[in-house]
Amino acid sequence: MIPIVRGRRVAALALLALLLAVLPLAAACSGDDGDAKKTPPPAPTYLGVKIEPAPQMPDAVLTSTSGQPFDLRKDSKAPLTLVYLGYTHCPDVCPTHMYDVSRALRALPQETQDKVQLLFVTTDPARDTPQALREWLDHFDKRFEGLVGTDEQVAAIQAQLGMPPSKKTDLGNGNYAVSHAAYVLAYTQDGFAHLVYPSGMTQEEWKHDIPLLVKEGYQE
Amino acid sequence: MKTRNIFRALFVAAALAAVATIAAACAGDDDDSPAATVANTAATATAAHQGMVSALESSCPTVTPAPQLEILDVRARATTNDVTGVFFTVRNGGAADRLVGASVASTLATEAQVHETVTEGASSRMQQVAGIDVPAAGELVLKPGGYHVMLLGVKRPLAEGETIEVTLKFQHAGEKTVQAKVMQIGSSMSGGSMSGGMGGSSMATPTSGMGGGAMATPTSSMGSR
Repeated sequence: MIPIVRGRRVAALALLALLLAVLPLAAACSGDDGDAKKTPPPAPTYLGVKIEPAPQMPDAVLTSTSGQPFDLRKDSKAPLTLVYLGYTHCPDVCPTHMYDVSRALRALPQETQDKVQLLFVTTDPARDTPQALREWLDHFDKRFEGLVGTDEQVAAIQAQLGMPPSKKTDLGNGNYAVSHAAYVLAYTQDGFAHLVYPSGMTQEEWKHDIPLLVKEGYQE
Repeated sequence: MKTRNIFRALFVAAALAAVATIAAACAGDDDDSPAATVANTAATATAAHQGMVSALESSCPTVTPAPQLEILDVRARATTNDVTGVFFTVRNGGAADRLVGASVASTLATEAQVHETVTEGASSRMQQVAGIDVPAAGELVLKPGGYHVMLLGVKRPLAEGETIEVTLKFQHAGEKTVQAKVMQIGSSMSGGSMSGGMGGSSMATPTSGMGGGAMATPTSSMGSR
């Protein structure tokens, strides 16, 4: 019974959507109304920072938080894949960034959320086990994927992304900090990150750009 | 004739008041001493000599006006491991000071360090600093991407909602013990207002995390069509 009702509802929604889509078209075609512009719609204005040349998704097979191999190129299939390199002992920029992305994402329609994947690659494999990453990421969004590789793999990924290799700063008593890039790379369906989102990107800014990138990919 | 005498009297009074102020100021940092009170009253009464006083005061090495610190919005992150950051604002209504250290009970964490996040080119790193200046009649804001007090070797999980005691050490104001509220790990530590940095005018200078290697030409797409 329920599936039928759902089916009807979907059909009704589809019809409504179709009507809504047709109406503006009809209006646009009907007139020699002076306001109608014939120029193609402008490319969207992004709030992310454009980088050139846009880096390709790095070629590496890491381990996911569930212990499975994760091929960055083959297993990142979402229309929008956000990639961040950081570490869980980072008290400052990493959690702030993850928090803002997670909050912005949650505020978007479910169908948009479903088209976004976030990959958090640890720059501190010695301390960030898959379990430690999972626990940390769950505080932001259970859908965020954590990826662990070797130090060499992380360095190779950073080289492919044009990032300097991570360096450790000794904080005494066996503690250390790890340097890393403080921006999120936004990979669109073409497999390139044309835009990056530096530290301090607000939830409003994320909410502006994510739907654009999900819907149409990156438009020059 | 009369007018001239009045001017002379005023000048003498001003000079005396100035000297009294200097004497009091140089005598020590005890602001409650009668000499200081008298001098301050005299100083207020004769505004005409202020220029002279400040000129003389600068030659007195023992004058150390006190900072007036108020520590606001103290918060720490809940933990999943053995480190956390503490963020706060120091509002100063007095003379300049400097945050030179922090400590917590040894039952809470092994150590508290004052850190700064430095972004050079495409890389951000965190490092310990000897101190951070608190400007005179101004504010020092510790927030993500800038400064924080880092607790290392945290001995028990910190849960959202609890408070922890942190002692801050200032060069002049001494130690101040404050209560930090533990916030959800995934919570913005940027404080109430937009303080993250990438909004508004700062959009034009996307220096954070940029530059170097493939990131050599990060042009902001802001406004591009």
